[in-house]
Amino acid sequence: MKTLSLENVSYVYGKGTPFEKEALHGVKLSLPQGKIIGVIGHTGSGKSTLLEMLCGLLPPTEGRVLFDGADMYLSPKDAALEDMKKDGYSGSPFILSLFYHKYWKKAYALRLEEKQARRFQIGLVMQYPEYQLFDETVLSDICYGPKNMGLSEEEAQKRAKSAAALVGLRPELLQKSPFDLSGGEKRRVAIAGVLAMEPDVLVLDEPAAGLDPQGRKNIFDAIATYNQTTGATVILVSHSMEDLAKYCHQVVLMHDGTVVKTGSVEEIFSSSLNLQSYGLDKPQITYIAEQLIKAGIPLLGDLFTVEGVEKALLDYIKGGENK
Amino acid sequence: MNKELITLRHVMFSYENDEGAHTEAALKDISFSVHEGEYIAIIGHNGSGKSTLAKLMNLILQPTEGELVIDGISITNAPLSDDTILQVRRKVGMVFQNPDNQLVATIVEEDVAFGPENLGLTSEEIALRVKSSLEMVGMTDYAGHAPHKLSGGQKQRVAIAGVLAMRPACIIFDESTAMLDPQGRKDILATMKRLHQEGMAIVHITHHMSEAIEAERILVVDDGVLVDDGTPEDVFRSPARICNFGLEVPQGADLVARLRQKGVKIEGDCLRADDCVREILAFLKGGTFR
Repeated sequence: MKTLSLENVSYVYGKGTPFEKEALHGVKLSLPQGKIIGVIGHTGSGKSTLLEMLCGLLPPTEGRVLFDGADMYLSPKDAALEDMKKDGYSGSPFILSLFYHKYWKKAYALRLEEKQARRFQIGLVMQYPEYQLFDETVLSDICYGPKNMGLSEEEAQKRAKSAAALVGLRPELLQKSPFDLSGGEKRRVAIAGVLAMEPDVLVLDEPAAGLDPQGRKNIFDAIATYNQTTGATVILVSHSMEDLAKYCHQVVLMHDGTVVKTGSVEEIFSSSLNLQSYGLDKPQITYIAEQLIKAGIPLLGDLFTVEGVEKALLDYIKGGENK
Repeated sequence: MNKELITLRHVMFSYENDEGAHTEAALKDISFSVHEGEYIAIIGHNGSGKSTLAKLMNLILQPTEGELVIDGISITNAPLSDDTILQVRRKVGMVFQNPDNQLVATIVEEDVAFGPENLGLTSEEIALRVKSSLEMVGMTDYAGHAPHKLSGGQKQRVAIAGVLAMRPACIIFDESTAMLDPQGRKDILATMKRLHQEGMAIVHITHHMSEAIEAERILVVDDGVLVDDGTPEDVFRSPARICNFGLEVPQGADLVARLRQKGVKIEGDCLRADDCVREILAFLKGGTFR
């Protein structure tokens, strides 16, 4: 499994133009392995820029993005110079330039190889991914990614079928056209297409937006199962605080291009942090629990899911009976 | 009860496939009315027919069978004149999911003016309507801004202002909050409430149950059939039934329903967070459990 981290990353859109806009500013972030990490923040807080950067699609203007310990966006030039230093080359620019080309070529080939490998190690599910479906059948659409990895037809199909089962697509749908499916089913096909590549890191931008409650639950359950069975790191952006509180191990709170806080669900949704000032909200159930505590009912434990508050209330009631 | 604004009588609708044959009905025998000034939420799972319903009420689609009456104009599957269509669209406005699909101009003011300009009004009248519409959605300060630089919630409010400038009697919101962050969602809900208080009929199609309960009346659509029609309290009374339709109850109501199953006798409906807190406290402080 591979780790991902950001070191003092900044990103400026349209640098040097009148429309210059800083989307990320000095972001330091280390994403724990094997966890589900939620990213929250208002529109324009830099969430999507961050995701693109983590996927290797957007080189930072400043700072480094480290994947498996290596700088994801290291240029062949810098890599070549580093390699030369390692091999003990020093001295005048003239001496260096004699050997530079050879090193550059090697570094370039290596970077390219790494880049291609990364496409399969980090899987990205974009917003409204159902618009990316294109193939004649659901099965061949899901197979597209694995086949591009160079897997055989059988292996690709095997992976596609298990990914389809994971997201809860019924086997009879596999031979249908993806365009004949409902919105929720299409979304699941698109996600299965990424899961079938079995990425070490799964990145999702609002995977459940626009879905009905049942569809939302299916998607999140599938993501949680993938995380548990493969140990992959999952990074997801969502505006649904209820879903994040239920499924995430850790939450990253972003505001105006900076990371305000990284912490457990409890730390982020606890009363000390005024989420409303960041244009966000707590889960309704947490609000209810806090109001009850304010009114003098001591509730303990997980106050971020309905199940948790139910247990806390039942414990409290039982405690009263035993007195 | 106010006058009927939109009435559906045994409306059936099916889409045509490439060969021109009708596919399975998206709506089956639907009958209900939207009255003047009413605030209705429509809920149902993906593919249940909610959006088809919205498109019928705005005459983007016509019923395959049955009759639709909008502001006294009867609409069946017979072809309509352009005048009739325009007349209906002026009465019933629509706000879509993605505001970017609905904004046409490069300046907020001009975008709001786009509709009235096409009505052939005088420029004074247009200016008046733009001003009052922007006021209604609280975007007056942004009149000179570029829409693409606004946040999602602000864009959506500009889109609403554009609809308001047509002076409709009813606005349909087709999942207009789905793409917004929590603050944007709150802004749009507040705007809906305000419009409702001003006498506008609101039809809000949503997947968020916490938004649906803000309405006076909720319609539940399941596989093209209208399965429920009542107050939020009526509709969410049985969580098990709502789950069968692929939906859920708000978290507070879910909590109270679970506690009731465990034998905790909490009263009331508890759809809203504050009601839920009040009822739980009333139960706990009542001391009946000690």
